[in-house]
Amino acid sequence: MSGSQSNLSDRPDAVDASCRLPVLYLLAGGLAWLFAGLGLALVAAVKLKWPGFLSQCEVLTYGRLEAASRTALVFGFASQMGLGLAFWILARTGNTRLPVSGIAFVIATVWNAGLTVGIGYLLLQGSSGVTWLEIPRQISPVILAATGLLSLVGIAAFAARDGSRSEPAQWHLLGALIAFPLLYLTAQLALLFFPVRGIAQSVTHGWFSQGLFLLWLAPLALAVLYHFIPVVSERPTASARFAPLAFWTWWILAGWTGAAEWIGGPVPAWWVTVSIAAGVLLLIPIVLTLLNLQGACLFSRSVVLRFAAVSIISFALWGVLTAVTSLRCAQSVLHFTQFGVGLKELFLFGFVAPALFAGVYSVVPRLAGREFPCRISPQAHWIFTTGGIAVMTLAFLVGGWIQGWQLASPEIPFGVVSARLHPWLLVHAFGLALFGFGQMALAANAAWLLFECVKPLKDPVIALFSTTASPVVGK
Amino acid sequence: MKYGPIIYLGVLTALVATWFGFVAVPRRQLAALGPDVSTNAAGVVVSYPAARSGEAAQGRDIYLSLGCSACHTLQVRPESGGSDIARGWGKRRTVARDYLQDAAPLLGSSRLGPDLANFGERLGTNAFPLVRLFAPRQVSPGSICTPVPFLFETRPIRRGVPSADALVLKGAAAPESGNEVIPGRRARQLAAFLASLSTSVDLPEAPLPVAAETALK
Ligand code: HEC
Repeated sequence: MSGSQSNLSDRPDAVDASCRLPVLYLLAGGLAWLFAGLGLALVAAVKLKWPGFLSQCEVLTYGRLEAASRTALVFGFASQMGLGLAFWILARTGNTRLPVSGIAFVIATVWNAGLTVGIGYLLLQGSSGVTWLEIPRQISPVILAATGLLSLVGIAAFAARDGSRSEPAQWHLLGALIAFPLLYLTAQLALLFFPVRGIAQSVTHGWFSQGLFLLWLAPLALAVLYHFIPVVSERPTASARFAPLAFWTWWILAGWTGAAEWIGGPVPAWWVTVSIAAGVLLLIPIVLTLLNLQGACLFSRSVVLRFAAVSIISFALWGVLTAVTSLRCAQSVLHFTQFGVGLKELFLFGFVAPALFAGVYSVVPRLAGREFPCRISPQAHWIFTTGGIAVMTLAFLVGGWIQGWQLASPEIPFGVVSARLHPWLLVHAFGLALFGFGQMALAANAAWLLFECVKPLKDPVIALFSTTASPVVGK
Repeated sequence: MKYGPIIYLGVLTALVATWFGFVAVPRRQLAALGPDVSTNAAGVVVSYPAARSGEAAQGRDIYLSLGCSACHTLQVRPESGGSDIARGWGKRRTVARDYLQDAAPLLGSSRLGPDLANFGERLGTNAFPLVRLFAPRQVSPGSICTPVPFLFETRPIRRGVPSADALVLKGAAAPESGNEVIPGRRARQLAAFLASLSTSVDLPEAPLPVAAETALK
């Protein structure tokens, strides 16, 4: 370890300085992808209402837009912001500099370039047909390699930590950084490079898609909550003795939930049964985690705690709804409806995204050396984000439920079911637009902050790339 | 607490266990499944599922490249779990054997549109209505099915005689007078794939309902 005991007091500055470039870059990149993903999703939503809109353009076919927007949101936005926050949390909790931060910046750039080319290819040439692995195999290894290397940087930061003490946020991050590259590697090999014919592919695919959500995005988001709620609320983690149990039950069970989505499908039944059972048991870690994460509050004065509260509420709701509706009687009604899409959105927009925003509002001011300039903007961001999530998930949870009941009654013709779903699709699109609008508040505030930071500097470019000194003179 | 090594090992073990369950075992178990070989009424040995014709196989690539799976499933659930059979989307549930020929089974997860696992059967002896690809609303008013007009060619009518395969289009979708819309190669391939979709074969693990069987005889 580089620092000696004597300069521990100025260590936080050194830690922040080592993180500044890669972390701010990953957060900014994540924000850019969030806009790209939301933009694509909005065009897709318009096409659901007016299929003729831009229909001459093959690149903007509904199926491709939908795949591209999901890929942009999960890989570009959530994964990237999550990694950025992971780096900072691991460096800060370990009280150590982020190793090879300049190289991490370069790798992150390669990741973004790979993702851009991959999504472009997906739009221009078509999807590979495998959900979440739509990026074609000519390009996906680049993203895999970048993911793996960035994970190694995070793991190295954990290994270099000061002292052997560790907290739940670190456990989840370490788990995610170990699990996801392996999961992604296996999935690419099994599904894109050496596929076998038939249903074995679908089982493997279910394993990967659940892993992507539950063993990657979820632990990233949980780590942010575990780390920042105690720090910001200035209270220690509640019921801390449950944390190890919550951690281990989550990591042991979550990987087994993969085949639940094939219920009633052509998949051998035992996989589905195991997955449903694991999904119900997953309520144990969820409840234990909730016990740990008290301290966030919807009415708090801190926007961090309010975002955290939205995230936790969505997480709980998602867990309960997933467990209850995974049972066969519910699935015969809800399967294939927008309800399932609503649950995924509750997870991504309701649980993961607000946790990341809570992290952004905590980390960025430290790294930039000053507060976000606009005080109103975070409030607006929170209101529109929360409102958007509420509207869009409710539209699909309720609308999907109604759609399911009507589909289950064969005397209602399909065209009628489809027509009655239309209003719900519109409400959903409205919610998505609200959510997107809210993100502009964050983007504007971030741009202003950047301007404020750069203004007093003689040579802003050099300052941005210097990882040793704080660019903010006189702070 | 020294957590590092315990977490490395624990997470890896958990992951490898699920890898066995979801990657290794299915590959093994399902690899044993072969096509169903039987003798049909004419005494010819047939094997199901048969490989798709070249045109239909290319059509399948177009189907997945355009993301039709975003709204269409290709699977029929058993009678106990949904109204698929009552809706006429298939005579029996689909089983693993139905997908033996597919490199990436397009089971789908959303039914914004109807299931297509047996679409070819619903066509019966009719030719696939290519208009449905060019402008679904011509066939089904208010439909939100994706139009794929870029698979067609709009060109001037040659020598005053409309071509035999020109689409019959009404209203706003109709081309300017003197022009006609004819399907391109990819439209025909996609149509061939859709017309090939059928699973009504009696399998030991998923027999056709007796009533349907006797009705066929
Ligand atoms: C936005 C969702 C959506 C997408 C994407 C979509 N469809 Fe559809 N599709 C529908 C809906 C809704 C219907 C039912 C209304 C109708 O008959 O047009 C339908 C009906 C159909 C039917 C007629 C089914 C029947 O039983 O009569 C076919 C064939 C079809 N679609 C093919 C396709 C193909 C090929 C694609 C990919 C290019 C595609 N669909 C993409 C929503 C979609």
